Amino acid sequence: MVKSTIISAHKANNLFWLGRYEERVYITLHQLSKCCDKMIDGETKDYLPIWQKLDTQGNYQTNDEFTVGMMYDETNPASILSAQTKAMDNAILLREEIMSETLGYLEMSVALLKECRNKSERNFCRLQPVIDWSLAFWGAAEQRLHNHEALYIMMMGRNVENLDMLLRFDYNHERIALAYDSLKRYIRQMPGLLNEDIESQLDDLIASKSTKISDTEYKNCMLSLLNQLTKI
Amino acid sequence: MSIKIKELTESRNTVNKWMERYGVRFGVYKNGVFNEQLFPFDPVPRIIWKDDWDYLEQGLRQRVKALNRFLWDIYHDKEIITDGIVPEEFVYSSKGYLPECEQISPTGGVYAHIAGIDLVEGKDGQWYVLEDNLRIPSGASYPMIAREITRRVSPSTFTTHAVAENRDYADLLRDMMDEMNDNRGISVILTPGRYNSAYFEHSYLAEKTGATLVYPGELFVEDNIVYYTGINKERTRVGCIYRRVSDEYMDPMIFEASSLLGIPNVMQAYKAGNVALVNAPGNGVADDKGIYYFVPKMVEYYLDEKPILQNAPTYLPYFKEDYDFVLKNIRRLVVKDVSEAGGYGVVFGKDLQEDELEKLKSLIIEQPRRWIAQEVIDFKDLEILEGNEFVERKADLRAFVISGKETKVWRSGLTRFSRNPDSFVVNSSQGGGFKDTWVVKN
Repeated sequence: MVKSTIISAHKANNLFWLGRYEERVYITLHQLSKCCDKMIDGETKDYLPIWQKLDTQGNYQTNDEFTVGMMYDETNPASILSAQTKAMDNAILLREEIMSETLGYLEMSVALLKECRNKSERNFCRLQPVIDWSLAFWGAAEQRLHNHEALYIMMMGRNVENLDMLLRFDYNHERIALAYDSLKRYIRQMPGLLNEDIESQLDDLIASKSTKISDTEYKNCMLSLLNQLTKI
Repeated sequence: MSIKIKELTESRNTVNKWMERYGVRFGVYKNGVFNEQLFPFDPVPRIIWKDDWDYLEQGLRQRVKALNRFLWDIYHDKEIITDGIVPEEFVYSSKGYLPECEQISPTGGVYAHIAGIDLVEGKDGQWYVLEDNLRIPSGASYPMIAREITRRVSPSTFTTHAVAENRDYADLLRDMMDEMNDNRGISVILTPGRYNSAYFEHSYLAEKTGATLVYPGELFVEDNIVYYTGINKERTRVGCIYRRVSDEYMDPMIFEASSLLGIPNVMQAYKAGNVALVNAPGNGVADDKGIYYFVPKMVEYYLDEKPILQNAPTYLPYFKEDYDFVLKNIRRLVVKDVSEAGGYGVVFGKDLQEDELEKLKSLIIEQPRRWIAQEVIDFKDLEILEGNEFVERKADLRAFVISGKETKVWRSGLTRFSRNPDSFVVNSSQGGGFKDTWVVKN
């Protein structure tokens, strides 16, 4: 059977957003883990800084409410379950590209998160398999996605999200520059999907190290450009 | 000879975990709301011994060959009507008959590339055909993936028994699509989308055959050629479309104008012989519940052979003799509305109150062509594992027959069972579960 190498706009969109959401799951877990550690010895509202960085509305009053909400609250777009479900919503439309074995890691993560939610599981440690499966997902996807362009698009999504989160969490210029380089590695493979104008503006901003990443105007400008960088 | 499946049944939870991992689901709309649920799987397989299977295989091949000949005839010379075997009223009043398909000759003369034939085994060991599904029969992916999982979970079960391979369904499908494609371009599976009840199957078959899964809006027709279009507006020619979209939505220029699921002008490309449609449009005329009655006659008419498989004893109120019989014996019959599918429109006379029975009779009197009536077959119950207990439930078998250059029967099938002890309805849309079907060497 002749296999098409063409990727439809619909699939490109799913690949890109699968990459973004799955990376969001991973980074949110990482950030939440750090936050949980801090909250062990900290104050009642230690969650607030992380919450503000994620730029979402919430109605949590305590560290405990925040932790549970960030894990399972499906109405909170920043929660792990919410991001994992959205990753799954995209992945399910890509079974024949990424293969059932790869998709299985996401299915298991969604199932585990829902199971933990239903049991009101508060121990963050129970979500360790979600981290493991996320890493397994990336490995499996890289091995099984035979269409290189499809892989590049998914990795573009992953790297856009990575950079987005690093910016939100005020990582230093060196880390931001490295993440941007990594993103460009994939974008260069798909020149047709690049907004060149935006790229050049972003190049300048990233190269300029005189402003602190935490500067709100500087950060928001970069986030806005980053989200327009690709045509997907 | 006995079959040892203890290890398999003891591994039921592990099997179900794997099913969940692979997302083996089907969708159901209830009160307008879409819900996806795991398709309940029973680890106790249906066993068909090879000798019995050989008989079934011959009968299925014969039946599908006759049905394909019938479809060609109906859309071309109509000799079966001229010769008085099938009354023309049954053909032209069938909702599945599409005048737009008149004189169109599909590649290789094949209409029903994938036929799903529903059978039951009577308590006397006799198999009966209940229904021919020639439009877009679904279900093959479930026993395929169940086998993949059960072999992994309980390898010793399969080393002990010589069970015929069933994961070759994708090969049968791929070979058939290649034959129909005839090197014209890529082969695709057209799905209506994620919210179709059989979406899992569409995507799984695309994965296993290597066909591209395409969604509405991704194909277009230019100069009677079908193309698949990419993100950079590049295009590639399509030679074969295994469409999981119903006839009426396939081409808004010819059929339902408001359809967003189809491909405008695809019928022109099909008519020009530039693309194969699998299954062909217009097949509904042959799997109409009214036409079903005539299938054994088709076998004799087209193939000059005695039909190997029997229909369930069926009465057509359209014929005076049957009309009188049905009205007199309605209490013991099962009455089916020919325009319904999926287990809907099926009424058991024994379950009706007197006033309901009278109402049904008046509907039959009003529109005799709309109904068929069948003897209720006391079909064999199969064992299923419910909790920790084995219980018996009604079950049918959907066998799949693939027609390309040759007609081949897949050595397995979807065994569906009712989870309700009092019900004969096995459809997944009505809560039924499924089993793997093993063809085992004696």
